[in-house]
Amino acid sequence: MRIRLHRFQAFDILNYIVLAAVSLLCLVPIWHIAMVSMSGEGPANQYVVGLIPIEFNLSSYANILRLDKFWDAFGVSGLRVVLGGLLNFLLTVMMAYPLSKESVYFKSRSVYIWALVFTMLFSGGLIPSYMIINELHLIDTIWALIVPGAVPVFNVILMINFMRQLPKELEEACLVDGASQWSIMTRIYVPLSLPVIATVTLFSVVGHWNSWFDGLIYMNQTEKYPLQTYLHVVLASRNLVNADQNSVMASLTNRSAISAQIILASLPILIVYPFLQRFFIHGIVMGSVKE
Amino acid sequence: MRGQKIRGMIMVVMAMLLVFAAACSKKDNGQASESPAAQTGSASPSASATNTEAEAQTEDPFGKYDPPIEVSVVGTTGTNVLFADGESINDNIMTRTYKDILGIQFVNKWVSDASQTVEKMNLSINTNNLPDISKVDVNQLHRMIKQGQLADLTEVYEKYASPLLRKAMEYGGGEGFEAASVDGKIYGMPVPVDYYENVAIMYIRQDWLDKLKLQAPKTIDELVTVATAFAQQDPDGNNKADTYGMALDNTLGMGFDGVAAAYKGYRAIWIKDGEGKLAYGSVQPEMKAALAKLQELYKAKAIDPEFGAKDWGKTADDIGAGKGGIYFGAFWQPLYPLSTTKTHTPNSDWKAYPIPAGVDGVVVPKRPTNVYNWMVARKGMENPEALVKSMNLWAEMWIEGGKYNDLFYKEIQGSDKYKDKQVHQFAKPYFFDDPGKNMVIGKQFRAAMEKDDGSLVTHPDGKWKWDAYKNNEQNGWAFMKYLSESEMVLEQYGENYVPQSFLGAPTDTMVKRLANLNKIESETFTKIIMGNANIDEFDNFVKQWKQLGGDAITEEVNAWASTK
Amino acid sequence: MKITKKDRAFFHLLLAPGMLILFVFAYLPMFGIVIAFQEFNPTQGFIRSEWVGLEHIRFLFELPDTMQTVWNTVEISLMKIVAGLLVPIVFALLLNEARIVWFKRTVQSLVYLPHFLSWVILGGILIDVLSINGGAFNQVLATLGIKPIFFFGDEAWFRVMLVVTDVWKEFGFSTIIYLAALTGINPALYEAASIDGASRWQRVVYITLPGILPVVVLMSTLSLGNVLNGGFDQIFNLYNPMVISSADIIDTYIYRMGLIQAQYGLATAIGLLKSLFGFALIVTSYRLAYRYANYRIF
Repeated sequence: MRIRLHRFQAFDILNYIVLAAVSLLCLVPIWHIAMVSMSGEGPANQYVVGLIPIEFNLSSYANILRLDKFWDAFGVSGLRVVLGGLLNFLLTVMMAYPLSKESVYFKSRSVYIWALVFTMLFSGGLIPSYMIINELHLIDTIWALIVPGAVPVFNVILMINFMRQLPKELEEACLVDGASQWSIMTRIYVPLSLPVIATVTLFSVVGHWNSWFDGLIYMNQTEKYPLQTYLHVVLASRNLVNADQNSVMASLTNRSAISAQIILASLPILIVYPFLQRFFIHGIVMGSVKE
Repeated sequence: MRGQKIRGMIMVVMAMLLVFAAACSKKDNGQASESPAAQTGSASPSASATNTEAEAQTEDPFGKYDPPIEVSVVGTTGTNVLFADGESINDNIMTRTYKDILGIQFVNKWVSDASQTVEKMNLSINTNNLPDISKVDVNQLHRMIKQGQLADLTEVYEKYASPLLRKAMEYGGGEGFEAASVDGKIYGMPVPVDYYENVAIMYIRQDWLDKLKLQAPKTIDELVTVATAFAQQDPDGNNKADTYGMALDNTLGMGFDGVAAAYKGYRAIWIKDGEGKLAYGSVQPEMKAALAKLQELYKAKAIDPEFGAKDWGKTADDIGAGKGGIYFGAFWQPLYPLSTTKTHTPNSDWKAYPIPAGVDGVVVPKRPTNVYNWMVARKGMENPEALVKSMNLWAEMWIEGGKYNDLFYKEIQGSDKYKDKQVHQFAKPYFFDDPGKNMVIGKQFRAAMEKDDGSLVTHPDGKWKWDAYKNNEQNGWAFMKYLSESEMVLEQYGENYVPQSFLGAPTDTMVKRLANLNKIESETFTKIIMGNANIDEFDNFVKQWKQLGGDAITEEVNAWASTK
Repeated sequence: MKITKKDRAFFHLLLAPGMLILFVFAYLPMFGIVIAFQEFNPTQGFIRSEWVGLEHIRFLFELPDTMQTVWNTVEISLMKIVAGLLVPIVFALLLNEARIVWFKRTVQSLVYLPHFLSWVILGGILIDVLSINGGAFNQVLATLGIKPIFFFGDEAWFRVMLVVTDVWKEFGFSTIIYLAALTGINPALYEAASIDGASRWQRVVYITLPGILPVVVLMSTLSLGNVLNGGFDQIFNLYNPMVISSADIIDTYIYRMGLIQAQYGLATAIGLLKSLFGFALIVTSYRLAYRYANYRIF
């Protein structure tokens, strides 16, 4: 018995070590880049910075924060998150509520559901989508980043599933009292689904913040790039830096400057995600499906 | 693909840096600039205008639009694009100059990052949502002509092109018009770069040669000796075996060409075979001997052992860091990467030499074309002559002898406000170069160096480079190297080149299969050099190449040639 | 319960804006797949462009690259799927054994940090950290006396890196699901087992694993739908010509074919085939999920 207990303790210690090591592995690369971004240009370019800054200074940040391009991109991303999140939220609720009704009461339900699900299974592809957006003159507008994905089909389905689990008695009681479907939706279903609504809206907000490909394709003016697209372009063309010694821009594409831009682009998420995690856990468990 | 694109971008950036200087092309310099373009094909416009005066033409090449017209183009930004205070890609000294002189207001239909230009242009072609004037590559040009998206420029070029513009466009026989012409009609204005832009020169670390008491190699066998010594005898003296002989990158660029030329192997261009037919250089038997030599060099560790995993930029980094002692590159490459070696190792020195000769003692390098882009006008554009007029204006500003030379070189580029801002990048609609000028500046530079007399550099931009060299300014060393030494090597090559002999538009089979054939080629060649495949693998490659479309392409290419 | 005509009209009204958006941005582009059967000419449009039938599809299979990218995609996805299933399960089991609450919370918070960052950001970080020239990871290897690894130049290592970093980004997030499943196991089972003298290991094998098995089955069947994806965002932000032949997946192939080579017919044809096979895979996976895990998506 004693020996056994001992072995358990050994396992526990080992387990804690493994868990701690794995967790650190998730943090250390980002930490390292953050430290590079706060180091002097010399040590950064010589790759001698480890987990503490060398020649600590924030001049990279100062340089970037003076850069109009960066703020433009930040602004586009901010606007996109707000507008896109709002639109996703509205459409999710508006679509999920009627579709949570039993087919007996709402016969068209299954047609709608299939129309919805089919878009998850099949898509026209990049070129035709571009043509549509182009024909609608959405190129170079924020709407090109928001409207095509305005209906987050997966989130709608999560919401439908959740609403269907809510007790039917509530709705019936209200109907008896003569309440309209509008007030049942806004007074009963939306408040009760609030945790899930919050979760899926956060899904889409994070999604909007992290999207970059649509910006690359649909934005024709570089000052209209969202932040992640801007960053993608900076990273994709960094090999040009060496060729460009005359350029004052070179100071923005050296290693510590690139690191600073990486950190700045992740900062909003790094700040808010610890607060979001409760919602996320809630939502995932409820839908029991990955994003 | 990105690597190639980046290399392309770097080359563009560097080419722009170096063309800061425009040189005069003296009327008597014996260059092919005087040869009539008409001889290369009926499509090429008559070059007789080169010597005729402007009054012989029916329209004023510099006529001002009143009221001003708007012309849409595409803007490109990147880390290398700079603006003076208060200026932007939409409004800068160049846009204002064109408006003042020609009454043309250029507007950017869109602005793309340098890394996205191909994608953006392709999307725009495919949605037929084109700016009035675009700059396109040969594939895009071909597609747009086929799809009927372009305006016929034959007439406006005939009527409006100024003599200086014609000189640049038709330099070397007007090769650039070939791919842009269908049935005698011109659909694109060539965007020439330096005529010798893609001819290989051998650069060697002179300090390494001296240290190991070696001579610069003249033949391919001497190259093996020197390269092996660089790899094995610790030329940088740090007691570590961390150097290699010659650099090569995984695109098998000029490093490959520099060795292969000694065996009359000319990769990736169409050459004339014994019977005067066009044949693809990479599949000729000569290539096998060249590959065998490269394999031998690799085995002796004379070639960078990791070249297969290095793109052009990484190889350039290596050269800057002093890892390699032999670098095959273009004439402008003292600017980059060679000058970076000096930054890291101040007492290092590079010298330019002709590429090594083969057993017969003759050096015949390959010369790919110098036109890779064209300016095109969209079908339905109201004033297509605005394209030619604005190119006229640029020629007058940029090419020596132009009536706006002083405006550009003194008032604009020479002013404090625009110094080092590389304003020529904003030439409208798009920048193009005077293909013969570097050789001319080179001659002036050498004469000035010999007599230590700066007044012999007569070109205003040559002067600027001379001053940079004399005052040890940034790039001064590189200017001196490439203008005196590299241009000297090009002169030594004389007229001995194997040129790219297929100048037409991509053929049907090329459009479909070339990407794949190129991939097989570079994979096979890399494997053979690294010794992962036997040299006889080359024979299999040739068979495969023919089967997978090579034969069809050869036929198409020769059909093109027979119409010439 | 009565739902009146007016209520149904209200339902249709609620659905209308979303359906309109889906129609325009999801359904209309589907008609664009006709390009796959055309020599598309933008000046002629979809109707008047020359029809070439199955020519593009036939030609696709003549190009050796096509099958190469298909195999790359399947291999990379399968490796990611397997690793992406095993690692979170093991990690959830280990985490479940930890008893200190604050420690558990902290670990959870840290491990799903990478999930929230985009591949643009992670790509930037990885290219730096894993670089052969002084990257932090290779510096650590060097101090351990291990030769540096050229992750972005060596085809085999690049794939390993793709799989490992994909797992690294997502395992924390998946762990949550398994942890939730673990909390759903009846504690009475463990108590009974302890009384019967079952060891910790035995409890894991006989109680915990069977307890989460339905979730494991569910997750594996659902991930089947991803076999043709392979992770465009990740690969597009990380790959380069040196590793392209082992890392090119269908989506990156389509991107280059379409946007760089401008072979829209070919690009759309591959996209169409991918969609068709993907459709079949997803439907199969949902059927399997329904049969073996009694899970319905809607």
